[in-house]
Amino acid sequence: MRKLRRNKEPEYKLLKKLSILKPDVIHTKAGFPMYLLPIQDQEIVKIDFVFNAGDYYASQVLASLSTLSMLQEGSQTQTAEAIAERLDFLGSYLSCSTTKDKAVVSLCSLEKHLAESVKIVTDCILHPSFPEDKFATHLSKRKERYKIDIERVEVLSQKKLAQVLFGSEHPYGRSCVLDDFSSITRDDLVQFHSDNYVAENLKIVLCGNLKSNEVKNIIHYLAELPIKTLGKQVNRKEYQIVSDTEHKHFIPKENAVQSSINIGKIMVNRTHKDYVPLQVLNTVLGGYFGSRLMSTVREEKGYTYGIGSGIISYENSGYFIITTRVGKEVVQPALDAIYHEIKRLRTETIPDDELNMVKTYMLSTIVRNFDGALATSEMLRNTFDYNIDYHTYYQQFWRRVKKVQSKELQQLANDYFNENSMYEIVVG
Amino acid sequence: MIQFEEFELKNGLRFFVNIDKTTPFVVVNTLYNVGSRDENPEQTGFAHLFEHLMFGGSKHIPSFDTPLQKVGGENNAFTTTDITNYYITIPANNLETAFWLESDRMLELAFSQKSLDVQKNVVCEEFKQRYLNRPYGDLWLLARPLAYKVHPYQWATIGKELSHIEKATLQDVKSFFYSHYAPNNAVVAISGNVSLRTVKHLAKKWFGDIPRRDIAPRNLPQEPEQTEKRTLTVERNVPASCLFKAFHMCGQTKPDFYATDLISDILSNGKSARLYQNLVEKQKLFSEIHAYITGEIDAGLFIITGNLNPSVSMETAEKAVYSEIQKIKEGFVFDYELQKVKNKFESSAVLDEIDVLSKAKSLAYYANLGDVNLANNRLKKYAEVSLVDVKRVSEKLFDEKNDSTVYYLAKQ
Repeated sequence: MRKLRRNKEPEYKLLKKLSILKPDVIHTKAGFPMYLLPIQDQEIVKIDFVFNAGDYYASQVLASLSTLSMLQEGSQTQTAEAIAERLDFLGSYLSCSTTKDKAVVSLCSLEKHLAESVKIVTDCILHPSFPEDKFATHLSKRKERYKIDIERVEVLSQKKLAQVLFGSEHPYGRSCVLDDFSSITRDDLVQFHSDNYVAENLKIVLCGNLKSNEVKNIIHYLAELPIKTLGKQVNRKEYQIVSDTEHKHFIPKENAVQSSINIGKIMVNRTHKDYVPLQVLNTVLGGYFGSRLMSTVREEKGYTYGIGSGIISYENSGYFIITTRVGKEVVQPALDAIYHEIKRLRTETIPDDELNMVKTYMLSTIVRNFDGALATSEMLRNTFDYNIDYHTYYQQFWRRVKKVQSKELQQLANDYFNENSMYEIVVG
Repeated sequence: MIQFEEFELKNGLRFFVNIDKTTPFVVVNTLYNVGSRDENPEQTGFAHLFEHLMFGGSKHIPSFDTPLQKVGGENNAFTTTDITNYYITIPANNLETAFWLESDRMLELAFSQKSLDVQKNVVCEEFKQRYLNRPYGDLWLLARPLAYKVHPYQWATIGKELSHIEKATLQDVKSFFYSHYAPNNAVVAISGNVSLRTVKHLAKKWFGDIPRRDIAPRNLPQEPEQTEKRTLTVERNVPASCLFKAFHMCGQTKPDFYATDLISDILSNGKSARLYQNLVEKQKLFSEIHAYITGEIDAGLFIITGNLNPSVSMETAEKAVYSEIQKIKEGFVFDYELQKVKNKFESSAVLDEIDVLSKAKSLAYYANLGDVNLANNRLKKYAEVSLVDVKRVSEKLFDEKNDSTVYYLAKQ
């Protein structure tokens, strides 16, 4: 046998195309769209009920989350105990999550128990009873968790960054304080549910074996779901972004052995023409394990266990954020290193080798994000906020990443990544 | 059901291959049979520190991550008390790159002083981030030495203290490598869009010439039966007091493992489970409470831990927990309830099989444990657990003498 040349990398091929599962779209009786994605071979079904009922739509900070969590705490015909008992017995998983814009109820169930599980869950969504005693317990649990959360430096600094970027009156900037737990009432939840859990605000995504009878029956059932309609689109309230005039904020935290650093600024969201190339820049800077921030701040200097950056896209806006925790004694050198890397994006063109690696990384990540129905359903949901065609959007995203050049990126870095435009929060 | 084929190279390295044509990717999961239980008590945290060094370049390849990222691969690793597990997800076309990288670091690491110095810092920051700088972060650092007096499970994977990491030398690191990293002390599991023929060819090509190494047989002191309840009381700057109980249980390979796991589910899996319903919802003593098992290979721990609501005394809280476990010991468990936790296990097992990464991890884990078929047969073992088993196992498990408790009090 020929001697193995271990110092030479094997030949490789780059991924040539992105194939995206196209969902079937069903228009339901109540008018909301239902998207169907096929799962092969496995008898598992996942259904997401996605409502435009995130924090953005609430006048009080806890209303969105509490309404969502309380859906499983009792309906007009079932007690909280009965709901939990039955879903657990069927081996079905019900989970609720919110983003700033959305409230999502997800059900995961084996095909054989699908019909019963879906009926329990739709009953919870349509006819919650919001029992007072359960609400009191819910608030008290949340409050205890909140008290623990705000002991964490990284929680404090992220809250502070959102607040200085968007202003404390803006739904993207405000966050919960202790008093909020005593000011919210059951009536607020009833009202929020009645205003927002309506057909005009709903999209359903179902992943499962679309050929099986159990699944077909459920699709039919959901298509007839008697959810309330308003008869008109719900308007989003407009809020003014009011960024703080002060760019640097320090919050001392006694006894902390590490400090949390967040650096960021308002940036464009998914719908903007610069979004994709900005994601490439972000990836170079802090978006993957081999990023510049990881290489210098962690791998070269050992200041931190991890550092990363991201562009958070909301329906009406977005922001850029760098996040890390470092030893208290190296806060300043870490900040210097971070700003140095931001500056390099502006002053130097990205070498071809590095840019090609980042592109390959991003392209394969996109392909991976569409690997299977469950992964695809998340990508689909990510486009719900923006009124964009999901298939076209991601195909364009993919082509845009392929095409982007370092000259253009340097220009964008000068437009968007000026160190002086960044906000800086240190807690610890 | 995870279908798989297996083969072994002459140097003792075993391969397990699950073919899944529904994905364009493949996962290569390499498990080394070494964890923090194999460490010298004076040099704890080494297995995990070593995991970090495995990314600092190997004999012929200066960087692990760069060439992998170049071909669209992604990877990570974790260390537990029992194993060190490395995994790569890569486009199936580029499988060979994963073999090239993974085999070179099995052959020999670069052992650079610079890499060691930096990773010592990184691990120290990880220690601070996970264990020191977060509320309740040091609970496990307190609980392990309370529950274990003899067995190396008495220290956490991160190590007993920062100084053990800080003192690590290049020589220590080298000797750790040659005593534990070897083809005859590892298994590779692969799941994804590949053919068995290709995998066999690549396995032989890249791993075939790595020499066997002498691996000392593991001879760990087993923990003697605990003879009286142990307690530790600490005061910390946290918003709520926490009750943390650890009971010794059997190891992963023992027949009673499955019943023990289901007992933790009866107490705590899902919103309808007993601890949540009775102690959070009805009696309102805890804001949250959980029961789970560590699931370690040697005799592990059954944990019950919860945060007390304001103004609830530790005594009241502990009494309530005792009363819940007493009910189980007395056989107050229904057939229906046992069926419920079995159903939950079944659907979570089906969910796991959708994903190539969890399939590969599972094959590697059970192969290393000694019976790869457990990756599929577990379901049957859980299904066979009876109410009689639950009663018998819980009587021994929840004996007061078997209890190590940390009272983690919120400073007033």
